Amino acid sequence: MPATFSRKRGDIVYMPHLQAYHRPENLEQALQLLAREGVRSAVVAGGTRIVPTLKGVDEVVDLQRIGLDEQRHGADSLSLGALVRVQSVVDDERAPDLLREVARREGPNTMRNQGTIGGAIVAPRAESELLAALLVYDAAVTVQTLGGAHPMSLSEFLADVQGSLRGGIVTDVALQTGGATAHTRVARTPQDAPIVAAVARRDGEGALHLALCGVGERPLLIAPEEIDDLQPPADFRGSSAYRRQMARVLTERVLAAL
Amino acid sequence: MEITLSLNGEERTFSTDPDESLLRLLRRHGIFSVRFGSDTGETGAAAVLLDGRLVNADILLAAQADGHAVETVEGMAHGLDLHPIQEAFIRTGAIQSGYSTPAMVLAARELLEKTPTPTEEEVRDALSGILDRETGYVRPVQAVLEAAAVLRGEDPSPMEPTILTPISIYDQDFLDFFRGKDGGEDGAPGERPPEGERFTPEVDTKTEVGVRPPKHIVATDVPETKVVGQPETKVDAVKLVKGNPAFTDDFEMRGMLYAKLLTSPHAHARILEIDDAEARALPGVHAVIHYKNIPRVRYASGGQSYPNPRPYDQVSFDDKVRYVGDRVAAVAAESVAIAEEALKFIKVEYEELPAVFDEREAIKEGAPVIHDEPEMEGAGAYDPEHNISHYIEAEVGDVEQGFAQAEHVFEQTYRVHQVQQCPIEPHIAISYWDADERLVIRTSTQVPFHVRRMVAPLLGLPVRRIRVIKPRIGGGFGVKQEMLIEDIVGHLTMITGRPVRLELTREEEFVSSRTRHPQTITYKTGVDAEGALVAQQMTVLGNTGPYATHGLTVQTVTGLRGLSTYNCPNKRFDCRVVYTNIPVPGAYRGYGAPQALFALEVHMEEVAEALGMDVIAFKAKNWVRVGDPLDIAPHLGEGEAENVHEIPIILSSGLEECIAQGMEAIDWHRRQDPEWRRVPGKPHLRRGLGMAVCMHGTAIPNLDMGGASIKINDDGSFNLLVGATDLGTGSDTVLSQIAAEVLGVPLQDIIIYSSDTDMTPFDTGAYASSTTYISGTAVKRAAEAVREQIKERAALMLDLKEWSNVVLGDRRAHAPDGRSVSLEDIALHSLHQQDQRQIMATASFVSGESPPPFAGQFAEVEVDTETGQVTVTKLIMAVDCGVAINPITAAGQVEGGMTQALGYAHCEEMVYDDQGALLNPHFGPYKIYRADEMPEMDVILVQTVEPSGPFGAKAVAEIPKDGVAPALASAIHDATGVWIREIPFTPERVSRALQAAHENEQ
Repeated sequence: MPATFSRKRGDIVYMPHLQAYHRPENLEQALQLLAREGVRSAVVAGGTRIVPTLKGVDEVVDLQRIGLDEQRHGADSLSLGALVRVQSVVDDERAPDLLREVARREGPNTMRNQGTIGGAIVAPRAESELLAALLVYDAAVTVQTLGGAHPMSLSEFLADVQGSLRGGIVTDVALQTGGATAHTRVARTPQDAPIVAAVARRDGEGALHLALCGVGERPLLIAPEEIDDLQPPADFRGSSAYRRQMARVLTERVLAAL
Repeated sequence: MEITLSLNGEERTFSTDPDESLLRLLRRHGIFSVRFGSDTGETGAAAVLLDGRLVNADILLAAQADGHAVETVEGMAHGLDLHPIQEAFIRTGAIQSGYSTPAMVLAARELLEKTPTPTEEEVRDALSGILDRETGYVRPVQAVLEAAAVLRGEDPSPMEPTILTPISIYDQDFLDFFRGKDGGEDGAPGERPPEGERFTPEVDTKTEVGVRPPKHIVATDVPETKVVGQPETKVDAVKLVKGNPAFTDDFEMRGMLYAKLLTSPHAHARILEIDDAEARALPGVHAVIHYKNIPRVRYASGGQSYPNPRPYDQVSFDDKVRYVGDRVAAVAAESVAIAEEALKFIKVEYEELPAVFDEREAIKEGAPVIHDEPEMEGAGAYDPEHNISHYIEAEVGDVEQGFAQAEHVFEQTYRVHQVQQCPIEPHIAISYWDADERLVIRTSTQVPFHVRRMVAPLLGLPVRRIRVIKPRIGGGFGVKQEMLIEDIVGHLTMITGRPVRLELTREEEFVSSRTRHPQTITYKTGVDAEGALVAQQMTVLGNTGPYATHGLTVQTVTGLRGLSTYNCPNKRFDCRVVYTNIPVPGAYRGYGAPQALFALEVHMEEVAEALGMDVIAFKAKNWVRVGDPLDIAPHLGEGEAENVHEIPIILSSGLEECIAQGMEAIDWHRRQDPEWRRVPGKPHLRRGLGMAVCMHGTAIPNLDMGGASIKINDDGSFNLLVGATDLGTGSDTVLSQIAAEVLGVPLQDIIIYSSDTDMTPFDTGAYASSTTYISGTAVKRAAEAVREQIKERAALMLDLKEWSNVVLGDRRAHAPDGRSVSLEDIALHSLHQQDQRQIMATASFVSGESPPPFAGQFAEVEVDTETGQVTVTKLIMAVDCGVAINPITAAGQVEGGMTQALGYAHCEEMVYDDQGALLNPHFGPYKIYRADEMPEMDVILVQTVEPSGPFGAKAVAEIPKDGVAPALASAIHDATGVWIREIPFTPERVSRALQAAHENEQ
C-alpha cells in the first residue's frame, strides 16, 4: 500500500508525495537538514529543474532565504553566488557579453526568472551553453558541507556531481573572464537547444579553452585535436557521426573568430 | 501546512500540502486565469508574477511562494475598466482562443514596468516563455508595443488598412523587373519602371509595426457594408483578457472524481488478463474500467457526419493494444494523485506481438496483422489481413494514354512525417448527471453534436439523455474533431453517479490523442512540348496508425488537393490507407492537403527545372482559373456519402494577384542577384527565395450543415444561438458581424452563444474551413428572416401599407417617407403591446459548392551549407479568401496557420524508439516556435467576391497550412541547388542531402 493520502478531496496533484517543506534561515541550517539520516531530501532553489523530477524525494529544502545571490566583479574575474538567478546574469551589464548571451540561451524568460546558476551546475544539462561557457571561463565551484568548504574545478565537479556534492550545497562559482571569446552553434531553430555548440576563450597567456555541448552527456572541455576521437551519444537530432563532424566545423569557426 | 501570500494585493492565508504546486493552489481558490498546459513549465500557460517576476506556477511549489506577492490578471481589471495592456490585446486582435492570454498580459506587465520603451526584440524575449499555437505571436507583439505607447501617454495607433495597388504577373514591365531585362535566368535584375508607368507598386509592402489590419487588395465589386469587412474587436475578448472562468476546467462541482488513464507500454500486444482488485481496494478509488467490464461496442472515433466512414475498428476498451499509448483501463478516484497511484495496482498480463510502424513495411507479406479480430469481417475495411483499411482510386481521362502521348514524363517520391496539433489546452472533459438524470458532458470539443450522437451507443443511452456543452476551447486544430475521451468520463459517471473529470497530461496529449497522417507520395507527370500537363498520377501510401478514424477522408482530401490546382486532362489517384502501430493520426488543420501540396509543389518545381522553364511561368501555364472545372472532385467525396454530385466550377480566384503581390513583397528579383545570395564574411551561408501555390476548399459540399437561431430582446438587442464551435478562430465574432450587418445594428447588440446540444441548433462543427461560409450563411438567412419580421412590425407601428421598402440601419427601421422607429420600440411593441409575438427565426444552410480559396506562399531562407542548418528569415502569404468578414481575425488565422506550417516544415517531428515509444513527448525536444525566434511574417489579403459565400466570403482557416513546406523546399533549392523531398528540414537531414548531392556531382 502506498503512503498516506492526507490531501484534501478534489486536490489535483501532479507532484510526487512530499512530506515536508523546509525553508532554512542560513546555510548551516540547510546543511543540517540535508544531513539527516534516513530522509531523502532535495534542494530547491528556482525549481525549474528539480521540481518536475522530485519523484522519490520525501522532503525539500528551499534555499531562498540563505542569500548566496551576489555577483562580484573583479579585474578579469567574476564570482557568482549559487542562488544568482540566470536572468540576473543576462541583465548584468558588467558581465562579459558571451556569458550574458549563453545565460539568455539557458531558457525562455520564465525559466531564467526562476532558474539559478547553482541549479544549472548541480542539474547539468547536456545542451547547456551556459555550462560550456563556465567551463571555458575556468570556473571553480565551492561545495559547502557540514565538514567545511571544498573548492574544485567545475569540470572536476561535473565528472561526478553526486560524489562532488557529498550531500552538501554548491555556494558559488568563480570565473576567469580575461581574454577573447567566441561561440557558435547548430540547432533546429534560432532559440532551440543546440545539437552541437562550441564555446572558446583565448586567455591572457594565450592558452586556449574550448568547450563543446552535444558531444557527451555533459558539456566538456576538450582540445581541438581530441575531437576526432569523440564518440558522441546519438539522438534523433544528430547521429554520432554528424555530431562529431559538427564538433569539427564549429570548432574551426570559433577558433577562426578568436 | 499554512502559507500566506499577498494575492493580487490582498494578504491571504491558504492551507496547502508540501507538494502542491502554486498552479493547483490558485485554481483551487478560483484563480482560473492561471492554466494548465503542462506540469513542467514548458508552455507558460501557468505564468504568474511572483514579486513582479514572471514565473511558471506549475513548477513552483505553493510553499515556495509563502511570504511573497503573487499577481494574476484577476487583479488587473477593476470592474469594467481594463488595464491598458488588456485593452491593447483586444484592440490589436492579439487574442485567439485566449487560453494563454492572461499569461501574455502578465509578461507584458513585467516588461513594461521595467522598460517603458521596449524594442520589438525585448517584447519578443518577454513573451518567449509563453508558447502560442494560434497567433504566430504577430499581434501579441504588436499589442505589447501598442500598450507601451499608450502607457507612455501616446495615442493608440490608427486602424486604417494599407491598400495596395493591383499588379499583374502578365505585365511585361513586371516580368522584366523580376526576371532580369533579358528574361534570362542568370540576368541581373531588371530596372523598376519610373513612377506612374505601368508597373508601379511600391516597395513599402514591408512589415511596419503599428499597422494592425493586414494589407489589402480591394475588389471593385464589393458591396458597401457597415459591420462586415470591418476590423471589429472580438466579441469574446473581454472575458478572455480578464481570465474569467470560461474553459472546460474553469468549473467546480461538489463531489468531483478525477480520472486517469492506464495506457499501453507495448506497440502491439494481446491483453491476457487484467486484475484490478488491488486498485479498487485503494481508499478513494471509486471505479476501474477496462475491457472486462465495459460493453464491446464498435465505433469510429472521428467526429464526422452520420454515417461515420467505416470501418468501425475501435471499442472503448479492447483486449488488444495496438500502439504505445493505447487505452488499457481508466480509474476514477477522489484525487488525481490517488487515481495515479491506483494505476500502479492494476495488474495487466500482456502477450507481446511483433509491431510495424512504417506504412511501406506494413503492407508487405508477412507483416504483423493489426486488426485480426473477427468483427473486422464485413466491417468495411478493404484488406485488413494486409493492414489496408481503404483503397481509394479515382481517375479522370486515361493517364496511361496521357503518358504515352507526353513529350516528357517525370516521376518522383516524397515523404511527409507525423506531427501533433499541440493545442495548449489538452483534451479535457467533465461529465455529471443533471437533476433530470440526463448525462451532461462538458468538453473541449470542436464537434459537440457529433460527440453526442457518437457517444450514445457506447454508453447505452439514447441521444435524448445526453447533453454536450462546449465551453471556450483552448485551441483544437482538428485534434478535437474526435470523440476522444467523452466515453470514458461518461462510463465513469454512470458507474459512480458522481461528476468525473479527465484531463490529458501533455505527454498523453502527444501520445494518446491524435496526430497528422504520415504519407509516402509518388507523382508521375507527363507534359507536352510547351510545358502543359497532359497526364498526372498521384500514388499515396497513407499511414493511419492502428485506427482508421479519419483515415479515409484525410486521404481523399490528399487526392483532391493534390490533383486540383493544375489543369490536366488525364489524372489518376491511387491510394492505400495503411494500419500501423504508431499513435493514431486523425484530423489536423489542413487535413491531407499539406501533405499533398508539399509533394505537388516541389514536384512541379522539379519538372519546371527539368524543362528549363521559369517555375512561376510553368505553374501559371497550368494552374486553374475562373471557369475551370475541378473534375476529380466527384470521384473523391466523403466515402459512402458520395456527396459531390456535379463537377464544381471555380467561380472566383485571386491567385494571379496573390502570386504577383507575393513576388513584389518578398523582392523576388533578388533570386537573380548573386550578391544577395552570399553573406559577407560567412562563406558557408547561402540565401534563397522560394514560393508555393496554394489552393484549398471551403467546407465539405452537401455534408457540412450549420444552423442558427436569432431572437429579439426588449432593448432591441438580439440573441444569436449557433451550433458552430469557435475554437479560438474568431467565428463567434464573424458570425455576430454577419447578423449585425443584416439587422442594421452595431456588433455589441448581438449576444452570441455557442454551443450546447440542448440550446443551439445543430452544426456539424468547426472543421473543413466551413464555419464562416456554412454557419455564416445560416446566420445570414436567420437574420434576414428576422429582418422581415422587424420590417413588418415597423409597418404596423408606422401605419405603412407595405414593408418591402423599409430599411434597417443605425438600430432603427426606416420608412421610405423618412419616418423611423427604433428596434427597441419594435421589440417592446411586439413583445408587450399589440399582436404580441416573439420576433425570431431559425435557419440552416448546406452548400453544394466548396469554393476554393487561393494563396501564394513565399519564403526567404539562409542555409548553412556546412551544418545543414536552415534559418527561415521571412514568410509572406498573399491570400484570396474572398471578402474577409473581419480582416484582423482573417489575418490572425493566416499568421497562426503559417507558424504551425513552419513547424511542420522545419522542426516538428514525432520520433520513436524501435519499440514504438515516443521519444519526444514534451515541448523542447518536440520543438514549436517561440516568440523570440520567429521569422518576419506578413499577410496580404487579396480580395475577390465569391458569389456563393456570405457577403462574398470564402474560407481562410486551413490554407495557411499548405504552402510553407514546399516554399521552404523551393527556397533551399534556390540557395543550394539541392531538392529535399522529405520534411522536416532539420540540420542533419539537410546536411545529408547536400552531401549526397555533392558526392553525386563528383
